[in-house]
Amino acid sequence: MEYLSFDSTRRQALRMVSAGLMGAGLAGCANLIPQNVGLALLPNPLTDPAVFNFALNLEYLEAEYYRRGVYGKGLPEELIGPNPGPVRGGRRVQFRTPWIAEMFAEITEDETNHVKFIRRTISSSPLIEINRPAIDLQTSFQMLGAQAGLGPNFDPFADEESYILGAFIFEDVGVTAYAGGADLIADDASIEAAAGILAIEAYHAGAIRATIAEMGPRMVAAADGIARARGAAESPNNRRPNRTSVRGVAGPKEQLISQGEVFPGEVVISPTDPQGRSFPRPPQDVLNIVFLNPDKDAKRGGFFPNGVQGVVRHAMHPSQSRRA
Amino acid sequence: MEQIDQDRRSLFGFSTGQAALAAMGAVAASTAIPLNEAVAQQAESSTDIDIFNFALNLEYLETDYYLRGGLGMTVDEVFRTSFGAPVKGGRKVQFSNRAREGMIKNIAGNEVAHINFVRAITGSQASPRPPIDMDAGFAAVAAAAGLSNFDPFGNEMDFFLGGMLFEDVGVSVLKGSARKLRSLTLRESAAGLLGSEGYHMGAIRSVIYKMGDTWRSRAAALSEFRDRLDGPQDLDQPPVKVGAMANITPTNENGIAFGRTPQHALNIIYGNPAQGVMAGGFFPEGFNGNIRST
Repeated sequence: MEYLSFDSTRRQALRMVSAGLMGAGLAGCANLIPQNVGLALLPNPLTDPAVFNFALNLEYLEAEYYRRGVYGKGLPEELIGPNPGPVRGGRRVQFRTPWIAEMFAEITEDETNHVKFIRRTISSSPLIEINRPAIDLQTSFQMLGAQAGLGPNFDPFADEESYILGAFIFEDVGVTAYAGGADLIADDASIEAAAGILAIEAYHAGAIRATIAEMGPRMVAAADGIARARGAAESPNNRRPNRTSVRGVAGPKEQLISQGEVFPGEVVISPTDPQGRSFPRPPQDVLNIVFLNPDKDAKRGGFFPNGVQGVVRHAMHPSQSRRA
Repeated sequence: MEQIDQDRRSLFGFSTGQAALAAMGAVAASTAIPLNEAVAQQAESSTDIDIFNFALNLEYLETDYYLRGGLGMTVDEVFRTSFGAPVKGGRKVQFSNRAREGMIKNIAGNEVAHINFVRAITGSQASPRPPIDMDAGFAAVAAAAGLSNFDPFGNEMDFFLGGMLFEDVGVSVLKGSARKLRSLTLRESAAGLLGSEGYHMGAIRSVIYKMGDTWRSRAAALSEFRDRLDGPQDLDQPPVKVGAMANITPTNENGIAFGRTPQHALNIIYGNPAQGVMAGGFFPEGFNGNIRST
């Protein structure tokens, strides 16, 4: 019935148009596309399951980070696929503050549930890669820490403060990734699920920013360094020029905790665009950040030493995205 | 009602029925409990402009709340124009530290941007601001929720609680509206607004949780108040401790935020659980626009 409604038909038509706009991207995916198949006959690779498949990579990363920090061990076998990539680094954090430990226990449960939910939702769809990708929670943080001014040995599992800063890296990115997926998703139930996960990632990210802000200027300066490093990893091709002058070195899509823009004295617990929206990042921008590499052709690195799972990684880069 | 309350105390009412539904991808929980048919149809036939105009009414309330509390300013002063009817109540809050004051200023800045943006989307059809009465709204909430000395502008933590009272509602109604929007561009915009309001609530709920039992229990009273008003479903969740975990994020067992219909959001804002109500609580003459009845 869903597919008979005017509304859904119209959305499908819109998706055909968007698939057409990404023709260049499709043509570039030689490894996915048999040479004798005409472009017009190709399925749009950005099916809803493919978009969720992309998000699953980020959820694996977050879940492994939180589970290892909070419980000292990663996702259970039944949640990582038959042929999972290895996870490097991570260990149980010694929390000093009960409410902070309780907050992270909750975030851990949320992220684990996101992995479960997305796996269950997409597992029977075509072209889905359900295995956990290889994840690096050690050299990635050292690289990022060096760029962020936290020193070359940054270890987010060393103590409570470091763990909060590590969480700060992911949560903002998760919000922007889901916001960037919002107009790629066609089905009504899928958009509602994506909006619901987006909201929860935003609650997490707001809680982490507020926690940092309340811990004082030293933590704020460290987090601002991370936001700058994240901005530097973002592809310059996809920056919005009108933001450069305001955001400065942080990059146009990043907003430091100390970088309020409307009123003096703001402490930024909600990074937004000028419209007050959590800004969207297209998939390739998200990948640049988690690969810690601004190259538009980057395929792996940083937190994902062997790259990510799913077709979205092949389908877009900034010059071909609809928002470019 | 009693049954629902018991479920909720166990773990905010994650009954198996709800879990099974959620497994379908947070398919409208509305199928679990029959809604009034007419109300459901009204919601289905809403245009994108109707939905954003509905959001605009909430933004009018949120913006002046945070602006008055955080800066002692009104939105009309910021924009040097009047968006409509007067707003009653509110004054600068005395914050205990610059971090908390700065958070509220940031939220106020976001809300100012939201007003500007949503008015641009709705254009010439933008709903003017209806009369808003924060004094009457909070007094009614305090009485109904059994909160003694609830004074959002006289006490920093009560101010955080007051923000939670209606902005959690903003998150849930934006989440519930995502599937109703026809325009993909507007879907992305709604997602961006949803993200921003989620950030606000994550920050505010984490501070409430951090401040301990006194404030958690006041938040629980407000959550209970919302739950009594917004239909028979057990949706609302306070930032309290559950087992070894905080409950800063209001989620179902899939880690997904719950959604509310605009009608149920109005039940809370008007402070009235009945259907067909057009005004009350914070909005003595009701919302402006096509979605204004519970």
